[in-house]
Amino acid sequence: MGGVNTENTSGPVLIVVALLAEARPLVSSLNLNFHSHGEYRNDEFTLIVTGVGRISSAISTTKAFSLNDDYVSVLNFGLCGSRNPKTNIGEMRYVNRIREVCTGRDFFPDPLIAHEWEESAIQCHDQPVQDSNVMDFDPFAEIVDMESAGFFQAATLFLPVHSIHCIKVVSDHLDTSRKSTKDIEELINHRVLEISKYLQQICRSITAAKPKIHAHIQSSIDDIAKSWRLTKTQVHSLHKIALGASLRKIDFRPIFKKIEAENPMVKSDRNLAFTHLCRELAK
Amino acid sequence: MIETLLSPIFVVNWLNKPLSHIYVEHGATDYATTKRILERFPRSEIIFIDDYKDFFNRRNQNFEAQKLSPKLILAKKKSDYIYDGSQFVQEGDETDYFYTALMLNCLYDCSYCYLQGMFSSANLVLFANLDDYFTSVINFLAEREDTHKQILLSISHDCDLLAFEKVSGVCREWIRFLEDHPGFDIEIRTKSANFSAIQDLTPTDRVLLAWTLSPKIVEERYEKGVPCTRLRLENALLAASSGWPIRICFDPVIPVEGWREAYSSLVEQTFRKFPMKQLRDVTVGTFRMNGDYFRRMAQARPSEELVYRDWENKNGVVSHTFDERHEINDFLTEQLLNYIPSEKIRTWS
Repeated sequence: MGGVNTENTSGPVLIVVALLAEARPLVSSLNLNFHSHGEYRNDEFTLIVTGVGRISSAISTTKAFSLNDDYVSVLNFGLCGSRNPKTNIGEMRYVNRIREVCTGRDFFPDPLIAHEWEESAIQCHDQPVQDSNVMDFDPFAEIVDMESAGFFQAATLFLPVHSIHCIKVVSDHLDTSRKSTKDIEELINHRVLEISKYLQQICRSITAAKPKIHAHIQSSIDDIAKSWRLTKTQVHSLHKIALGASLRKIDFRPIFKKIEAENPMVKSDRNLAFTHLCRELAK
Repeated sequence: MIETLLSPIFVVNWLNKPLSHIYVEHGATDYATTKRILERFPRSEIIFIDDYKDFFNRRNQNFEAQKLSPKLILAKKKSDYIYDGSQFVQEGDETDYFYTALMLNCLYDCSYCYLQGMFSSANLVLFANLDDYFTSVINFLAEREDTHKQILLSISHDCDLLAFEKVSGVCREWIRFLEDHPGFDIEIRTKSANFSAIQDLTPTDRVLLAWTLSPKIVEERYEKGVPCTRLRLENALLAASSGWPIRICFDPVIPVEGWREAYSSLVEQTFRKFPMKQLRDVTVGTFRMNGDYFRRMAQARPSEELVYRDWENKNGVVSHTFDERHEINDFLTEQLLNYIPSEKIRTWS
């Protein structure tokens, strides 16, 4: 009944990046079209360029969700620094914990969907970090960026945590000298295939959609409600019980056939017939 | 274009395995339980956290999605080790019933379980500081005024501890602790087929092993991931024949189509060969849940059929009507009386 989505329902994914240089390789590989300033789209994905910093990221993410609440997942993608000299430039990291440095708060994505990268905790600073000592207060978070905490807090207002993802490409070892657009695009271009695969996974909703009553059953219920003059509460109850019966794959035809001839004229008869119908559906 | 990039294997294995991630509280890193579990799962991703509540009680979690790939949290319990028994259990007046929360949440996914309304997360929390629990029990026993009543402490109340025993080893620790500390008994209630995890221990009358059994139709429809009743019963029989006292629970009895035949057959199947000397008692109960938990469960599991039934919400308890409850309890009692005396039957109504 409950459980994994076997119907493969999917929906659009929002991709949040800070810089245009980070966005370009994705725009090209996903065949996104320019939509408006800082926004690229096709039917499956919307990519927004937020600018640097957690406030910008939070504001732009909130704006994107406010304009469209259909997104099934959101991905924050971009570059990060690493204080671990053993980490190769260009390596990908799936972020499993975000430490907002200015408040000391931690935020946790829910890593339900499998991926092929190493995982790491990230520190989100308000300024570029050049000195690794600045990161010492959280020794378990070895990568650093400036957007993830803002992005995550905004996204949790709109989506469950398992639908919020954060993936980073290590671009430097806390060397804040300016990188050329070409260098950034090249780093990301090497990873575009992996990101595309992952995006395909996260555009699928994990859980099954909320169950609905089949249209012809709904129509029969509406007819009963009208001809029996059921109260609002009774209609609500009947709808709920019918939904449960429908999930148990009850055959409604004999039940509806049995009550076809019934036409209660007074309240007490109506209530009796209603109770009887509910009991039949609940069997 | 993207679909062509995907191999079939990638599509099938699109979720992380259960316990792929273990979250460890900084304060829980040095406990033996923590070390043992981390050694047992060398490939799991370890994430250190300040307080388990930061992760467990996050807002906007999806219980249903998390059940598909639950994570483990190893934490330190800081207070409230022993709780008064719940109004929903069938213990009689002759026993003082308490419970302790050693673990929050369960590996299994039963549609009727109150845990899905109690917690916003489906992840598992295991409290690793067992010694603190033991100290608390010693103090509790020492400070107790009414020493006449027997104490029964349920150690698997908000979880299925025996199902997790091969990972945690917690039941074993409690049974060992019990040997040196008289004055109370423990109950380990389970739906697992995991008796083998404690089978090597010497049986004791002070440990009540309780198995919950359901007919096949209920098991298939409402008990996802749970070992089948045949296996559960085999485990209960094995434990009984090894000398452990056993409690059998038909709880909750879910009226489905043909429920009378199904439960009658289950009672017969259970007690036909049961070594009655080892049977402490049998509990029978209908579906019941705290009203707030039920409301949250209905929101968290919209595709569960049970949430759409026409339950009665009376005095904050969601259940069958009084008449329905009695019909169910009376029927089960009648069936049970064919095998066991009435004083061994405990019902909730």
